[in-house]
Amino acid sequence: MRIFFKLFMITSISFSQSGLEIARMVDNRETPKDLSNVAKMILTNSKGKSRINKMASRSMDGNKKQIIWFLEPKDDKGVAFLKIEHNNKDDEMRMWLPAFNKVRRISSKKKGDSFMGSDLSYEDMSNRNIDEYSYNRLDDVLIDGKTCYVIEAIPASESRSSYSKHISWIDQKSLMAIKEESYDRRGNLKKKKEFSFLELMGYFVMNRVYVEDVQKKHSTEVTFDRLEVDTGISSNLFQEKNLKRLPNF
Amino acid sequence: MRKIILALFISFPVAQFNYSGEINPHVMTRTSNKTQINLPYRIVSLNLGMTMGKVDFKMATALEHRNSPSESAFDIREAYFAYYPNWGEVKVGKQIHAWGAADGNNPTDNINAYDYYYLFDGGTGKKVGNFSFSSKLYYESFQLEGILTPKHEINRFPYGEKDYPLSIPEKPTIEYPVENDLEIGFRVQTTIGESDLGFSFINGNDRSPSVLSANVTVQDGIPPVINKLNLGYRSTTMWGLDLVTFFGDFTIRMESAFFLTKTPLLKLKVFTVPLDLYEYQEEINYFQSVLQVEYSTPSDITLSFQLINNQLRNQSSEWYHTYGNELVKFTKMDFQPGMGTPFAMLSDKALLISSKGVLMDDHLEINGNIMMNLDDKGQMIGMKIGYSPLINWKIEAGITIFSGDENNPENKFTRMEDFSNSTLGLVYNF
Repeated sequence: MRIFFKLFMITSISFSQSGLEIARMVDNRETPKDLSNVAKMILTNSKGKSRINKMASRSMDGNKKQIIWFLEPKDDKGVAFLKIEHNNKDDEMRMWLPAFNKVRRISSKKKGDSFMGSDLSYEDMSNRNIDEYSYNRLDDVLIDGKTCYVIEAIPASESRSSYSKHISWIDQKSLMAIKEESYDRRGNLKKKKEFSFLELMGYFVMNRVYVEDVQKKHSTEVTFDRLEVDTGISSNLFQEKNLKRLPNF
Repeated sequence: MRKIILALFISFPVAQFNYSGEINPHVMTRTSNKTQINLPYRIVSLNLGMTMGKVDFKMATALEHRNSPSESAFDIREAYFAYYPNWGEVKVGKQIHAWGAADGNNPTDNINAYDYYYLFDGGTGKKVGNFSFSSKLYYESFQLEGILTPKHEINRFPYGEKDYPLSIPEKPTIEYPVENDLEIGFRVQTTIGESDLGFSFINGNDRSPSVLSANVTVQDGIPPVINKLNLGYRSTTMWGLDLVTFFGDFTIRMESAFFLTKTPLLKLKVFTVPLDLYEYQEEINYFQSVLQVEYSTPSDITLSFQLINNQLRNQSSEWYHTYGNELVKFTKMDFQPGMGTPFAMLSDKALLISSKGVLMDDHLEINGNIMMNLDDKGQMIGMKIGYSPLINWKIEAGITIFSGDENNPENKFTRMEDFSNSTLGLVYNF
C-alpha cells in the first residue's frame, strides 16, 4: 500500500511539473564553469557527399562566452569566431579574418543564418532565454531505455526566432536533451536533432550532435573530442586579441 | 639580431609551431586580343607562426613570380614579435596593420603603404609591411591602439610596366627625401549599445610623391618654361571616424577621414640652390568616405553596396622664387591624394556592388562585382568562380571588363579598357 502511495506521489509530482518548470530545471542544471574541446564537423549533402571541418573551442558561463578557432579546411585555418551573449541586448559576434588582418563585427540579428555552411544556425548554437518562450508539456516517452520529458517550446514573437516551435525530448535523469525537432515559421518540420553526452567530472557534457535539415536533405554531425571541463579558463580569453592566437590543442 | 636568433633557438623545444599558405599559379589574358598580361603575382604564400607562452613570432612570406620571362623574387611581407599580456598586445617588427570598418576600401587605413600591383586584391595583399611598434590596450568596452613607425614607407608603383594600365613610364627621382620619418597613429574603439565606434588619427608623410619645386626659365614677354619638376612628399595629418551598426537585417559600415596635407619646408643649401628654382607651397584639405550596406539573403548570398566618395575641399597654393621670395603666377598643379583609399585614384564618386554566394556545399563559390563611376562615364564589371573538386584544391576562373568613355581617352576607365582580362588559376591551400 505504501509502495503504491509512493509511486502515486512520484507520478503526481512528476506530472505536476509544467513545461516551464522543466525548462527551468534544465536551465538550472549544473554545468561546467568552462569547457574546451576539438570538434569535427561532417557536412553531408543529399547525394551523400561529405565535407569535414575541424575547429577548437573554449567556452564559459554555459556557452554564453565562446571562442572558436577553425583548423580545417586549410583555407579557413586561422579564422576565428567570438560570441558573447548578453541578457539585455543583442549578442556580440566577431570574426577574425587573417587574410584581412581584421576583426569583423558581424550581425547577431539574423539568428537563422547558417554557421559555416552547416545545418546549425547561430540560433541553434545560442542558449535559449527562458523568458522568450512559452512551454507546453507533452506526454513523457521512453527512448533507448531513458524516460524523457517532452516539452514544446514556442518562441515569443519579439524573440526574432527563425523557428515557430521546438519539441525537445529531455532525459529525466541527466536533464540533457537527447532529441529535438524544430519547425520553421510556417509550421513545417525544418530540423531533426540528436544529442549524445557523457559524464565528465560530475557533469553531463555533450559529445555528439547530429542535425538533419529535412527540407534541404542535408545533415551535419559534430563530434567533440579532447573534452576538458573546469580548467580555469579566464574571462580575459574572450577578448579580440585571442582570436589571433591558435591555442595549443 | 644575434640575441634574437639565439633566443628563438633556445625557445624551440617549448614552442608551438604552426604554418599555413597557398600555392596559386595563374594566367591573366587580355580579353581584346587574347595576349597574356605579364605582371608579377604571388605564386606561393607561406605564413609561419611560433608561440612561446605569451609571446608569438609571426612571419608572412611570398614568392612573387612573373610568367614571361620567368623570374621570381622572395619577399618577407611581415616578420614580427607579438607579446600578449592580460591588458592587451604589443608588437614589434615588420607589420601590416588594418584599420577601419568598411571592406576593402578604407579611407582611415593609412599606416601602411599600398602595393599598386595588387590593388584589386582583397585583404592585406595590397599593402606593404612597415617596421613599426604597436600596442593595443583593452579596457572594458574600449580598445586603445598606438602605432609608431620610424621609417617612411612609400607606395609600390608599377613603373615602366606596359601591361599595367595606369603605369608611370619610369621611376621618378625624388629630389627631397622626407625630413622627419617618424609617423604616429592612434585609434580608439568602443562599443556603444549594439554599435562599434572608432576614432583614429595619423600624423605622417604622403605615400606617393608630389611636386615640391620646379626649375623654371622666366623671360619677359614669353610664358615661363618649366624645365624640371622636383618631387618630394607632403606631410599629412588624418582624423578618421568609423562605425559598424545594425539596422534590422542590414549591417551598416561607415568610414570617413578628413586629411590636411601641406608641403614641408624645404631645407635647401643656400649656396647650391640654382637661380631658376621656384618652390611650390600648398595646403590642401580633402575628405574621403565609404558607406557600406550589407545584407544576407535567406539563401546565404551576401550583398554589399559601397558608396565611395573623395572630395577636395580646399586647396591653397602658391609658387615663389627661392632666391627672391617673390610670388609668381605659375600654373596650379593637379592634386592627387598621397594618403587614403587607393580607389580615389580611379574616381571621386563611385558605387561598388558586390555579391558572394556559396553553392554545392561550399564546393562552388561565385563572386560578382560592379563598380560604377558616378562622377564621369566608366564602369568595371567582374565575376569570379571558384570550384573545389577536392579538399584544399580550387580551380578559379574570372573575368573583369572595364568600359570608359570613347570620346574621352583621358578618362581613367577608358585607359583601363585594354586591361579587361580573364584569369584562370589553381589554388592549393596547406
